[in-house]
Amino acid sequence: MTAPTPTAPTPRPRPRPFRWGPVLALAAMIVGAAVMVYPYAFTVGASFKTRKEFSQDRHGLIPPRFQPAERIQHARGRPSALDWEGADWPVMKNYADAITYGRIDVYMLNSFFYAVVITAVQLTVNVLAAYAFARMEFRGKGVLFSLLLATMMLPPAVLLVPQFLVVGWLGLVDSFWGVVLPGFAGAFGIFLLRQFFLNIPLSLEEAARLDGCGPMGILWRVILPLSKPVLVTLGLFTFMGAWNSFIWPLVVLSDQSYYPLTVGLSLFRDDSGGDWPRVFAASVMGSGPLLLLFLLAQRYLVGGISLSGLKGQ
Amino acid sequence: MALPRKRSHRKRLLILAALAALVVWAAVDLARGTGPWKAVADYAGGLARSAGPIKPLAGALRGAGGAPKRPIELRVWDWWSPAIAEEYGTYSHELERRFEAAHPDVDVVFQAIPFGNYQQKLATGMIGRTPPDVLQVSVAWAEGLYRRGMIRPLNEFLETTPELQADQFMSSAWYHNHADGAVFGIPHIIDSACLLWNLDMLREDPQLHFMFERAPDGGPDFTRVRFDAVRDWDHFRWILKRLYKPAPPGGKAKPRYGFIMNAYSMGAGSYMPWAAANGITLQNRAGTRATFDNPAGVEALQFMIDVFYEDRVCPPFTREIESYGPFQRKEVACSMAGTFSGKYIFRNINWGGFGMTAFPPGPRGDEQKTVAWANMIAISSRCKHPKLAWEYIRMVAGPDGAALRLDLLKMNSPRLDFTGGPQWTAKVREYPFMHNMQQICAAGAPLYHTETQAVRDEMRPVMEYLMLNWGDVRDGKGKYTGCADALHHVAERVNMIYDRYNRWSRPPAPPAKEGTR
Amino acid sequence: MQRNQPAAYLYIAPAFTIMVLFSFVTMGISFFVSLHDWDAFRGRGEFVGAGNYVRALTDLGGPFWIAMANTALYVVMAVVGVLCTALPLAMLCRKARRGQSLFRTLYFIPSITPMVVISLTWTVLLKNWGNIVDKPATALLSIALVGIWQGAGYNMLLFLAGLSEIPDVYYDAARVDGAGPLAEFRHITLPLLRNTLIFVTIMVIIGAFQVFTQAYIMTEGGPGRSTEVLALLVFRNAFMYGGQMGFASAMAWLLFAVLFVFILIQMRVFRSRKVYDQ
Repeated sequence: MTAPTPTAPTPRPRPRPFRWGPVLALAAMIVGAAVMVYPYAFTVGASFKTRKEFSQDRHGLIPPRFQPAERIQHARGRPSALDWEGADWPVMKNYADAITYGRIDVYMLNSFFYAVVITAVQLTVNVLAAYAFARMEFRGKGVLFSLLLATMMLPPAVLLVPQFLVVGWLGLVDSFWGVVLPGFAGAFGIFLLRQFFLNIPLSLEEAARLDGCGPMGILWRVILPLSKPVLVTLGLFTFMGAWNSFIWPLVVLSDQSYYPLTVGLSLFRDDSGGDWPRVFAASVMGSGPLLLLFLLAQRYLVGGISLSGLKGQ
Repeated sequence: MALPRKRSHRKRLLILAALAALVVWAAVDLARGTGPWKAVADYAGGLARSAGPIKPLAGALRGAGGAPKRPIELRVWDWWSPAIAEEYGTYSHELERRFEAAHPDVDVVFQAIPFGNYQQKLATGMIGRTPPDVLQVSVAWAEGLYRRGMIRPLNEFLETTPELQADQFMSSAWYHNHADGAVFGIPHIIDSACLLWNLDMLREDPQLHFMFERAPDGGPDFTRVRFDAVRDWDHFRWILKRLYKPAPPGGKAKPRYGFIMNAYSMGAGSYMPWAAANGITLQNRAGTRATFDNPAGVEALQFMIDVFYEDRVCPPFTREIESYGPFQRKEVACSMAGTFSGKYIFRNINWGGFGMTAFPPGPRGDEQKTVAWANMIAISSRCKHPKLAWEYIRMVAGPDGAALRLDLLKMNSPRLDFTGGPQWTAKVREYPFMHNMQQICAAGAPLYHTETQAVRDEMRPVMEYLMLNWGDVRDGKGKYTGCADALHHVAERVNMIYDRYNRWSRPPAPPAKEGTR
Repeated sequence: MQRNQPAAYLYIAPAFTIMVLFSFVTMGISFFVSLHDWDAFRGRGEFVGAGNYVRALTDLGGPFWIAMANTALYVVMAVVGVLCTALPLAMLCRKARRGQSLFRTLYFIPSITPMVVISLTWTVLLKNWGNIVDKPATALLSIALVGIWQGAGYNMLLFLAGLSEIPDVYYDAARVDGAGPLAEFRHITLPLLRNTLIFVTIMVIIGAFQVFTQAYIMTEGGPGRSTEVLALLVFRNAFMYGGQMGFASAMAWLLFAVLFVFILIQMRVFRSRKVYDQ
């Protein structure tokens, strides 16, 4: 044990050189974020304008009645954008119109039903199949799995017409089951779940089997509780995909009381003949629920992209 | 350890108490029939009754007390939607009220489908659970729907209905509703294309006063324009040039244009009236051949192009969602429209200072012409109560229905006995722009009717291209060498459409008449 | 676990019934339909054999080839657009270091909004800014812009995940060696991102070939036929015209044939990644 040798005094840490990189990158990202958010701001702003205000000023984000300058001018009796009959129309009129004429509330309810049923059935069916592929051995397992892989690759646009015919032969055109039935097929979910199940340590299952659990019991008691994050992620993605689906309900439905939000919005736009503020009000109401869901559950969704995007496919 | 448990216990009690209070409040409201909870319950009930997937459930809950009041449902489809014009809603409610009053066990249910999707939705609906029973059909689709088997022949009903016979209707109305001996639709309104004129602008120029009808005192009646005001195409161009007022210096104001042409929905619709005015139709009656690929057809298209590019009396092309925008904004003096346009302009800007004329004859035409079409009401082939549906048609297409449409919708009827009555005279006095509608419709050549969606999709790109790029075509740099080349190209493709149509749609066997061999 | 468990068939049965019904059976039906004249309502018409395929392929100026050209152009624009937006965005996001989770959220919002809503808003926005939707030369570009805008966030996240797999030591080593940012990009980022790049590109290609909603809502295939893409043409022929379902099915099969190449490539990448992971 030698005495500590006197060393030269440690040099003071150099001040870190100011790097432009991260600052510029941050600025660029903020500009990009503005580009992402601007259309939403525009939609919300335009949804509070009347038809006339909108045709006069198609660019402005803020409707005249909310602009302090205009209000002051109007109050003083000077010319302003509020000088016309009906300038004091109810603020929420477009939204009320979207509900009374556009029936957006009915369409949103329908979308909700479709999405919930599709998600529930897909999760159930996919969990069962994924468990079998992950943990069971059976004849033809490899072939069947490749088959599954193949079905995932079939582009939906190609399947549109024959799906319509099949649903027609099943007598389900223009009905609730006709809309949801093709949505029950989701091979992607099976892959995701299978990968996850494969990573669950076998020892847990062995313990459960020693306790006398059959495969169903293991699934229910061991696998599922551990799979909550993946199930939530998959459920959210399936829900959102079903909510946003457009072309299949467009093709298979003609009774308007069954329309989901997407098709209903398109119908409302056709019927509105240029009254964009009304259409925007309906758009805002229509994208609201998913946005809310997203903000509440974003860590599952954003994290799920990384999960599904590259790893564990 | 006892303290935290007591706290959560207390919190749980508070929540339960709050919930109980809410439930009691809601129950009281529902029992009394007023209050916010009742409104919520009413709204939820209404929503449940309108949302397709849970309608049966809602119906079962409500109908648990017995059979529904009106067991027979008569489903009526139309593209006249209250969202387009509120009068349509008033009209359909009135029809519903009248029919349900006359037939207490029938519930009339309307569905409005946008015109652009009508055929697609109809095909889907006919395969589905709730096909329509009665539907309004455009002449553009009627024969195709009949050939596809979606609407049924009405001959058996016509035989027993004296007030709906062919000779009671204008001949141009009873053109599109039958094929191979089968009548499949009863016309209930007639419309035609027309030229709309801003009467104030005509009035400004004394040299144009000849266009107005004569008032009793011999001078011009500035509220009505003559249906044959324009003599021929050269006269038309002369009038437009007089109406065109260039922009005043200073840069702020826009010029006042003479005529507006819309390149972006240019297609058969804009071209047909001018072609008719030059003596030709778009297709032959049997739907086997395009008949516009000839000098008359080329002349008509060239005329439209010349008015835009040579005379320069038209505003630049833009894509408007509303067709009458510039006309309503008083930026143009003349516009192409239809006899149905009056009520839209009235609704939009509450102004009636416009008038309608037919299209003046071209060099190869010999009279004022336009294209006319009579929309018809048909019975679908999946209707379970055809006799009831026929009663509905009788109501709509008969004299009472015509009077209702005139009153509420300012619409013309194809019935020959229509313009004689006092109701018509009174309406015309109130809305002078309607006074020559019958004459214009009577001058109508038949609108095209075979596979019109496909034909329109073929014609529109070519017409749009010609109108938008005429400069290039004229200089020899365009896709076509000229109008003749373009029309020939379109006619070839349209003939292919007709060939295919006639191949796959062999018509159903004509209806056998009772008592014939 | 090594035993043969016949009960497994019950587990996979529901998934497989639906999957087989709505994939292979429907593909077979689609092929059968494409050999006939077929009407959505009337049903089966005459047998025409290869007639529909011949009609689509030999009509050189006709709607099929126009739609194929439009769709191919759209795909090119989509790929270029995604690579030029999502990849730089991902790299900028990493470089910015602050607010990453906020940016990830904000950029992802368009991906969860229904395309119908986005199309409606952008129709008006693009009309305001130079009206490129109504000009035949730029209409396709405008619907491509909307597609790129919507997918930017989603693809950015994929690239972020790929970038995060590249160990920092490589960058540190390069910096010690004195490499500038461009050299870093060329020699480290690009090669190690290769699989992600291929994956994203193929996904974008396959998705872009099937574009429908923007074309339907924003332009309806116009002006002229400049935005008539294949999916829209198939939809029109199958459901809006009479008796052309067979032709529509033939075109759908031709689309599938084109996509098949890309699908094969994706399956290869897929498999190689699985092996790599395991």
